[in-house]
Amino acid sequence: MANELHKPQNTNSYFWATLGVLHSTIKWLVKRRFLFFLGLLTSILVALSLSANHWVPFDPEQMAAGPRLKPPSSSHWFGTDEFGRDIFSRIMVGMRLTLQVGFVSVCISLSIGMTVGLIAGYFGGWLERLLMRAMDVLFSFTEILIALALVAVLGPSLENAMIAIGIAAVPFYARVCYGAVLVERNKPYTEAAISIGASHARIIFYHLLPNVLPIMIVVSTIGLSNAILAASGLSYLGLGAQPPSPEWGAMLAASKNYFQRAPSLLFIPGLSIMTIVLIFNLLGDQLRQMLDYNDQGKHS
Amino acid sequence: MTNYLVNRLFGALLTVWVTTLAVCFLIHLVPGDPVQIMYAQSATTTPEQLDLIRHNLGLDRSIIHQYIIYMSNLLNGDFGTTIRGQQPVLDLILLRLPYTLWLTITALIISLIIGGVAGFFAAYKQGQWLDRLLMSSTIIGISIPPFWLGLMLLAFFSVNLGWFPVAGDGWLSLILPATTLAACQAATIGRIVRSTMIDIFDQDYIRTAYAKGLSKPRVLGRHALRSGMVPIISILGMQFAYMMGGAIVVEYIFSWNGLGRLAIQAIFQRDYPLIQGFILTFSIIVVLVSVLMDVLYASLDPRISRK
Amino acid sequence: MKVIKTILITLACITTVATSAKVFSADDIIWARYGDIDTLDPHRSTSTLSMQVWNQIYEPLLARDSEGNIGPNLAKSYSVSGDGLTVSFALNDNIKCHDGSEFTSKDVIFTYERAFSTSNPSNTKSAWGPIKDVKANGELAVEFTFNTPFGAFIPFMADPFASMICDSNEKLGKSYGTTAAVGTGAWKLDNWVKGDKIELSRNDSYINLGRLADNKGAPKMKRLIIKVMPEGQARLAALQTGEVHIAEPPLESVDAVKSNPKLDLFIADNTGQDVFFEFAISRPPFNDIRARQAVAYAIDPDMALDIVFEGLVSREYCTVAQGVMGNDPDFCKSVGYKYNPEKAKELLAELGYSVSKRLEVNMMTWTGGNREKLLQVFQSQLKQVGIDAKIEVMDIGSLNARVKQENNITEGPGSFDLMGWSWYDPDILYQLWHSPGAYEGYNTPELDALLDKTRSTTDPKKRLAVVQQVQKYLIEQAVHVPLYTPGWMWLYGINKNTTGLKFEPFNQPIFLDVTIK
Repeated sequence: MANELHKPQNTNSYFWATLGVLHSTIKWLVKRRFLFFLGLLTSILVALSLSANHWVPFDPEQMAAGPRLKPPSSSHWFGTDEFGRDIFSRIMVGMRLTLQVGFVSVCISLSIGMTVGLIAGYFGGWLERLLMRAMDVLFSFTEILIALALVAVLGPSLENAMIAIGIAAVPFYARVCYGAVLVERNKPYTEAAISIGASHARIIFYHLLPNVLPIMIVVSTIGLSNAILAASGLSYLGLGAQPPSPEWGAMLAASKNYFQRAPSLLFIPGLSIMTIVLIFNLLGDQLRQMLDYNDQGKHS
Repeated sequence: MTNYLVNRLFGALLTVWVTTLAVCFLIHLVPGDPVQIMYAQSATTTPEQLDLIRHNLGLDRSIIHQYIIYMSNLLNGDFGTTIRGQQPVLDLILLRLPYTLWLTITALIISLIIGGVAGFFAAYKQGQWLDRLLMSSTIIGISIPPFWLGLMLLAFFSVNLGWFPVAGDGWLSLILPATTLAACQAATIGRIVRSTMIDIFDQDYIRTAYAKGLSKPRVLGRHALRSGMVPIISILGMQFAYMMGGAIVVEYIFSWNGLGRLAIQAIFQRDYPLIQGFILTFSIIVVLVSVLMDVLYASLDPRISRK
Repeated sequence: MKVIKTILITLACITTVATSAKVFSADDIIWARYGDIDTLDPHRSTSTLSMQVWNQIYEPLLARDSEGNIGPNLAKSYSVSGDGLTVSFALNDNIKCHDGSEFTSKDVIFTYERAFSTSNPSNTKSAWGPIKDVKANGELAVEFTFNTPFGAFIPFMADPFASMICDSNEKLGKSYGTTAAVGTGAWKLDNWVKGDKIELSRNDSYINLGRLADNKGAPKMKRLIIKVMPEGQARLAALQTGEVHIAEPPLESVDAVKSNPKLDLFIADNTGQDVFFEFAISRPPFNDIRARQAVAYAIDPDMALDIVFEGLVSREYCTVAQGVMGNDPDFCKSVGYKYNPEKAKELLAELGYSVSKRLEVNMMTWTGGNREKLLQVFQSQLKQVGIDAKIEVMDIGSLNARVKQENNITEGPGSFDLMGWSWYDPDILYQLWHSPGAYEGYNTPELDALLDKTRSTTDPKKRLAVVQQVQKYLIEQAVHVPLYTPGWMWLYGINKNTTGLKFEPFNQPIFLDVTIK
């Protein structure tokens, strides 16, 4: 990007410099227009969901006997559920829960996973073997089992589901981070830092971490979609969000009895989950492609 | 080769051992008194009986003692007794395990066929519309919540059209759950097959085969496919593990009488011995299969075993 | 790869063959219900799920006809002494237990002594009444002597809870009630696969001495299979395909059953069922009447019932159900709590709760019957007055044990539950609320005295007056908040090819006449 900067003209050099930067940014964005679009979409959705409680047309928890199981109409855009609650409002408020669960789980997995990966990759030796073995064992449990086991003992709730999924995904993040650290460790700049006597902490936080971060971000977006799928799965089973929470997985669970009477109950929450997951998967895909282009020498 | 085998076996045993540790101590994560929670189910359990149960489980002794009791029971084949109905956990698990295996293996085969065929043709027609179509459908495939897909298939084909029974034990009731399980994994397999095949098509030996004058089907079938299979096997173990996990939810949706459905019921009923037995069994199966797959892979690709 | 594939396919085929071996034959009646029995021992459970099955395996001494009149069964006649303190039964001759042994007065005494055992009494021991002694007058006559006259004893002798247990069950030890049960009923126990099904087969030497059926001998069909199918949609689908002959349809699909030409819908009336809220009073907040009243004021049962049941149930204001003596909607409505969320908020404020300090409680019920949905509506109503109720649903056996447990602990969040009981007589109030009580819950000396009077008063008019006093007490104290009736398993979807299914009063299906085309 830097090499595309225009050379400033003789007069009004700042003006042309700014123009130049703008031009490059726009060119970059246009080139990556899909990524830009996805990023914009995500930000809009996040903003909408965070403010959902303020702008939704109905109280997501308000029950009424009259308008039950109604199909989409002008007053209820997505129809109503078996308690007469407005589905659109519930979906919008539920979006905040969905994003929240995904985000928190990923934060947990990322922080623990990166710690393990950085320590194992940097220090090596017995610590490396121990930690990576532990990750292998945890990995063979499969995420679902760990999540189920934790929810089974801690009790069903959305918070416990978040924690369970967060912990269950740690081996995945740890492995990726570990692999990335190994690559960076062999690079010249690390050797240089070690030879000038930089402390462990400095090397890890100042040199390794920033270089490992891009790949971790890519992995996180895909991890986010997995976390969302896992959380809605647990809520569907009744092990995550509890009533009257408008979590999308829980909404799907209730739809089972009303297939024929109110199909919108089945389609809409599922479609919502799929849309958000799709967006993050595409985002991750785009970021990964971008990373591969920047990092020459890697296959896609 | 033997070195490799020993290494893998050691790793497997280690995993199983750690599982028993985790499973045994899982009960301590329960907020409150686990024995009281468990036995809230039995109307006739007196406080004296509760103490006896606590003693038998070793919960009133040290942690090491508990583990010893647990392991000695396990090695004797005693996985404990369920709270509801007082049945031996092992019997119940073995009763339902075949159903889960049946479902998982069928789904695995289906996903291999679909993913394999799709990936192969996508690689063959790389860059053309077929490739693009298949690859975009895989992204959608991994984005669909599997429980939603299952629900929709159930709603449409079972409840609406009545083609398949809503619940049951036979092949007919297996089709929908297996398809649901297979659908999401087929996407992943498809992508891997595609990238593997693309690499292979580029290889020199393929070009040599063509140069020798061999027909297309011969080249593709005999040479390309064979070497393409090998990387697939390497991920087969992991795919199996994912499917076992996915089977839990799918069994619940389709009322399929397998281990997963049993586990979910156990979780709702706070039947901890059954939950422990389930986790242990699940882990053992997954580890066993992955070792098997690794050994198979090693036998096919000598480079691995010679490391 | 090929080798593996072959092995796998073979395994799969073998599994299919093995599992398809269990096929139901054409001589079976298949009945699907939402839950499993707790036990085969009539003294160890109180659930309707269990009771309906005992009623096939065992027989009580007396039986009810279609109008509810008590008539003979195992006992060919009974007589009550003038002072009401002695009840004598003359037993029918030649009744055989399933294992071939004769049914005599010894079995009656065995059942009674077992129910009254000091170490492990029956869950429904108090329903027997204040019995002083039981003795046999030979092989075919039994005499019960009472401390005080107990009018509800005769109706109880026609109830499945008073099923006669053959004394040969004693040598079964621990397996009695779990894997084996010997009775004199029309169906013998073959197998109970817990959580899955109960397999009963015809008792060929059965003689119908008083049950509600035209058939005076053994059942027409060979086997009765009672399956557990918790999923409502699965039961409905199985009904529609004919896999299952009798099943409770999911409440949302009742219209689908009515409009299906291959199915009939049977609605059991006179179920004696009453669904109500009760509270754990061993600790705050529900040891204070104001907290209980707050809940009673906060809920709007009419709206809740409308949303959840769409007219399939009716509002019940009394603590005894429609059709039972003492049921008087106008009277009960006048002493009950009406929907008044403002009053609820006031009471909560008195107790120290506010917008910032909300009251957190546990609200429990048992699976099925749309009860979880009902609790969700109540949860939303309670939230509006400042009560955050967490919903817990479990099977009926667990709920019964849990309620008892909650009534005995002194710490922890407040707990209350949606409970259901069905009974043919207001004596149920004695069983529930006279110390120690079915759940060891609320009781007071004042209430005990009133309840004692309901048992000792023989004149029907005077008894009714006392029963109404008890009801007023319970409702005003908000310990028994009546909600609706019927509550569970009162709807039956029956395949049109299945004829002859009859129902004794209080929702007891009888399969003696059933034939399937």
